[in-house]
Amino acid sequence: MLNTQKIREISEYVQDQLPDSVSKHIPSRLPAFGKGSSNYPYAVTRIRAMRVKLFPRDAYPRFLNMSLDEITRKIGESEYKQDIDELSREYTGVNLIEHALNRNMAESSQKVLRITEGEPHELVREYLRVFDIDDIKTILRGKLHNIPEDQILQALVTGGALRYTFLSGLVTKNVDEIIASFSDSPYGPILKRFDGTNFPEIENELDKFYYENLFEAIGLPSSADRKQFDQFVRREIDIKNLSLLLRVKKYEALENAESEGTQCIIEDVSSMMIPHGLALDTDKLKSLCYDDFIEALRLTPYWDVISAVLENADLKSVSLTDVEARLTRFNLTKVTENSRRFLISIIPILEFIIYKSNEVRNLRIIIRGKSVGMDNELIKDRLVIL
Amino acid sequence: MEFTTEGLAALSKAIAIVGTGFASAWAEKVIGAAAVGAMVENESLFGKALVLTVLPETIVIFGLVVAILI
Repeated sequence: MLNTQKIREISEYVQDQLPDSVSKHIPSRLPAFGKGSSNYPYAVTRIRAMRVKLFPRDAYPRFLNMSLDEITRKIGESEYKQDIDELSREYTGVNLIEHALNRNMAESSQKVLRITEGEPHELVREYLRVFDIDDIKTILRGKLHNIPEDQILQALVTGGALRYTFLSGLVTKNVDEIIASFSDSPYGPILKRFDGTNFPEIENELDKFYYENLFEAIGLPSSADRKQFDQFVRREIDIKNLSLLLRVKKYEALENAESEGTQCIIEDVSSMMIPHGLALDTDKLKSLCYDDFIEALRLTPYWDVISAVLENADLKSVSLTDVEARLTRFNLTKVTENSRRFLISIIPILEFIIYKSNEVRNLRIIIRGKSVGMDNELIKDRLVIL
Repeated sequence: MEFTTEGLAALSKAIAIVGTGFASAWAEKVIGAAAVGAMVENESLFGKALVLTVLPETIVIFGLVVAILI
């Protein structure tokens, strides 16, 4: 009988035997077994039934044409009813909706965790840790910029392992106390490296840590659905890296244009790149000037998705938010296609989680945009409608 | 050991019944679990779910027919 230690040894031996060109793309992984019996048929059907209850795509244009009160009423009549009813004693208006959306997202994530068993449970749990990472970053960023506590609380989405009571307790503490609270957690060693000035580095380290853990949970993807899950995560990494590179390259190009220099000055962003992406050669892309960078992007699978925004566009008018929305939409479309191919697998479960978080994100954008009087077209550009 | 015609026929009948019995059981397990999952979220699906759950029972009926015909 193989035990976990033996499996790890075998896995490491196999890794050692792989040529560098292959192994450098594969983080240290165990084959995915020994995670108990799974209940895919039950979980997937139940989650598909939950997916049907999400707002359809034609609901968003209707929301855009409604007033804030009408949107609140409409959301209050939907799946968010219980959250709005219960929170209406504490909050009003935009704050009420914002808290209700976040709470509903957290409850949906926890429900998915309750429904699943064995392998899907493990995968979902690791995937949902993204909420923990985001919450830690939100609290620390808020504290560093002296954001009021109620505004920090409003931005928290407790979809991962960290509970709202724990996180709301952290919001009342100072930065050192917050870091000390995580000393026994897996995030402790990373947070301890915070020296007051290197917060962007800490944020990147947390992201890298999240993906390393997620890859470990996915294991060596042997089945077709596992491979799709693996590809989804790696595409997500590509999108994060590409968004960051675009931002940096645009900034560099604007800086160079302002200084009227003929030489292209490149910033070193190596430490900010998340490894193990799918199709982007970040080592090459990060060392290119803006024009060469755009030329190199033409050879990637993402060019068809973003060419409409970048092709022949004036540098200053390039909307990076639009690019990010297009890339996110592309990744979600891929998941939808695969969820129809792999009916009883992890993909439909993943699809629900990302569609739900996308719905919450879209509703927040509409509510926030409407409350500050943003133009409908501007709000629409930021939505990811599928 | 000698194989008689009657003995082989009886063995074939047994294989037909056992094979289709296991196939029905496996299919009903998967469909039943999925049906319960759907019903938890939407109770009105009970009628459809019940029909779908018992549908694989036809497999064992085919096995029975084959066993009778042997």
